Amino acid sequence: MTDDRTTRAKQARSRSQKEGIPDFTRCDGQTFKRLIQAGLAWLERHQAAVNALNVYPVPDGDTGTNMLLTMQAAYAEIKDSPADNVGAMAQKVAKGALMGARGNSGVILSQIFRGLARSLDSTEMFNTVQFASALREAAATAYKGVIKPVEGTILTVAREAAEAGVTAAASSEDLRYILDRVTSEARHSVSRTPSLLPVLAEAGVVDAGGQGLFLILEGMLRFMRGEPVTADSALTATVHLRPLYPEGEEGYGYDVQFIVHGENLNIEEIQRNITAMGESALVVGDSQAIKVHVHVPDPGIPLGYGATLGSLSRVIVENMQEQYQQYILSQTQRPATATEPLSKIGTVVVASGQGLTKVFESLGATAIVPGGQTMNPSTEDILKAVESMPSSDVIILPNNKNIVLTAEQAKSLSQKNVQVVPTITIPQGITALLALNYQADLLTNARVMAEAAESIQTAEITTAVRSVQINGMRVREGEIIGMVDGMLRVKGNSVSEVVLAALGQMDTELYEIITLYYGQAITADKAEQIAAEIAERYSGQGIEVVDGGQLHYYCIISVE
Amino acid sequence: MARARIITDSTAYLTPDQIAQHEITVLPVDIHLGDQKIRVSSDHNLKELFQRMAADQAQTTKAVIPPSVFEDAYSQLGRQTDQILVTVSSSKLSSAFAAAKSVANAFLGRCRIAVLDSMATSWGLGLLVKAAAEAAEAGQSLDEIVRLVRGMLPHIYVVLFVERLDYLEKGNRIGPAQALLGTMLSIKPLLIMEEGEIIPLEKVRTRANAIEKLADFVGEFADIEQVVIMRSPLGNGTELLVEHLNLILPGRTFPVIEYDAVLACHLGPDAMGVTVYEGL
Repeated sequence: MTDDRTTRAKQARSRSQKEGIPDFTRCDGQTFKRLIQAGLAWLERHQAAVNALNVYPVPDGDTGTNMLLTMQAAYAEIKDSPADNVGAMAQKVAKGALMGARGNSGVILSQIFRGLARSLDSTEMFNTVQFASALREAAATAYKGVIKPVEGTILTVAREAAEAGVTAAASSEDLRYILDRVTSEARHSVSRTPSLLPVLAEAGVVDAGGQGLFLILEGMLRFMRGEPVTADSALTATVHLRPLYPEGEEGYGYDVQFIVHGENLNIEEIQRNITAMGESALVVGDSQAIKVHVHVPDPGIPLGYGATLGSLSRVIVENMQEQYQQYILSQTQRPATATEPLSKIGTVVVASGQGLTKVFESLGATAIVPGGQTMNPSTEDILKAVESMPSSDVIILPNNKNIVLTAEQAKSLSQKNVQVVPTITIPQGITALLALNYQADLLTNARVMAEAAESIQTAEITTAVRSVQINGMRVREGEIIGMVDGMLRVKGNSVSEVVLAALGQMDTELYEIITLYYGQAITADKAEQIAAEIAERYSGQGIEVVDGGQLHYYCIISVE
Repeated sequence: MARARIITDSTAYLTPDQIAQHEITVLPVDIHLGDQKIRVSSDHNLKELFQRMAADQAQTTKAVIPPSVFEDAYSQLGRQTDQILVTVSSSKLSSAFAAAKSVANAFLGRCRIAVLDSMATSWGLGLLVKAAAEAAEAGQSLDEIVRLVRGMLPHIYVVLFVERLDYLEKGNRIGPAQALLGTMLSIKPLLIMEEGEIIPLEKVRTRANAIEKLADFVGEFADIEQVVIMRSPLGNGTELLVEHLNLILPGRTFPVIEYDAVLACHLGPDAMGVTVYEGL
């Protein structure tokens, strides 16, 4: 392509962008799609900057990446949708974000979209007032999605930005003005996060999740103003996304089929009524027997209708698995599972590293979702594991504090009886799994496993990936650091020095067993050498050394 | 009609006085340990068996009473009575029950022989046998005694934990990979006896935790007639468990007994546990 033609193409694109929103007092489905696309692109462009805001100097699931992956999943859901209805488009965005959510910030973002979709419902086009109240519902939904909401995070930013939108909507019908006020307040709100959350102030950063939300809003605003939002191609290359669902059919929860037998059946009338109930309606037959096939959100409606016409046979109701969360989004009651409940409890464990995977497998984990420190699995990854197992009672062990919320989200989307035991380290997960009692019921097990997980302490030893001050400790990039139960507590120059310092902070002499899971970065010999040093200091405790094979962490140590 | 007589095996926890007083027939159990055979009669010192087990890696084990031993016992008792109750260690843990049953039919018409699966060993089995013997002395019929013993079965509970996993592996109660890794992590499985079979319940990693779990198990009962602590004759400390039990059931005594050879076949030489009898 010549330079000339590139320029012309750019001009055409910019023109069409502006033409896409001829009227700034209303937003339809296609415009909403472009807003999402713009928010995604702008976030993508600033992904690295958001990642750099992470407080902890450990290799972790980065906020920018997690939010971006969540946005990409949301956009993938609407990319090819021709819908003009903004409510329908928002539903799809919510569905995509819900399934693709990764990390805590991704889950909260998906809840924001869920609230937005719920408020817009079947709105054809939204005006400023509807937009503002949708933003408010979005913030409220996000707060409800978290058990203990913390101020100074993305939640605060969502709430304050929404309030600014409500105020602005009272005086203007211009959506650009509203979004301008919302974005501006989001920026200010982000800058205030360190005053609400001391840990941010100490580290000298603003909240990463809040910043991510601000960038999404700013991208949308730039699109409305006709400003460029293209992502930096070098950064986009690091994120891959596969399509979440087969393209095509959208939107309905159940595939319902039946044959109705009766006298003088009026096929045309039945055809009309069934077609009005849902999509892909097929009604064939004669005055004595009619076969009905339709996709509907509530299977009770066509079945109830059919029963008034005559007797039903060959009734088939299939939950269209990949679309059922649509059903939940529309706030309809969950249907009972059709299959008979199985007695055994299945366990879904998030873990990575060959050794740790083997440990969990041999302890009887039913499914292992690859993931952990730097790779946070999506809601869908966890949900698939839950749905794929034969048991109807499932316990999820997330084994990382940034995966707990994703696990909770998977739980809310599953029709199985799911309990999340909120383990935040690998040893907690192992201890919890050990405590699984094959004879006890799901709730008892969830309780006992959570108690077991809390009875141990974990130290994780790694290299600081950034220089930061936190928990009153100044850490330089490249130093070896030790986290005790997720809190940065010790640092030093060698692994064994940090291991011993960490154990010194854990009341180790009060426990019975010290377990050392060594990672890929150290050899078995080195691990044995560290164990020998531990044994010298703690002669009263048993020491077990296990090849964990984990990345990033030299060793993960538990005392119990 | 002569009173009913009781046959059991040497795993039943009975004192020599009780055996003599109630005229209970106690058959010795043959323990096959690898290619060795050790006959455990009631007065046999269990320590030797346990020491052999502890000295080496786990070997295949089985607990046997040959049918001929039952045949002899039936003929001998048949001269004194026409009603015999046979209740030996759980059919899931030893072949004695099958042997007792296989030769009973030959005595049809001469003597009524009821072979009842005790689903127990050790103290639990001893409890059943004593109750049966007392009922027989009170002149109850074989049917009445069987009904009595059957009624007691569901009220006896046994929970144990082991420190060594190799005997569980030999008995196919856990897989080889699990045994290897479990040993590496010093995992102590808790096991429960259910319908006479030993079933894994959960796993813990420290002895203190395991003991706490035993106490928790006892703590779940509303009514308890007796709690008995079972341990290895090689001696593992029971003080901590007694301490826990004293908190749950103040003012009681908790007899400490050595568990039997049949349990040892399946659990190895270092198990510890409790038997709870709820009472009727």
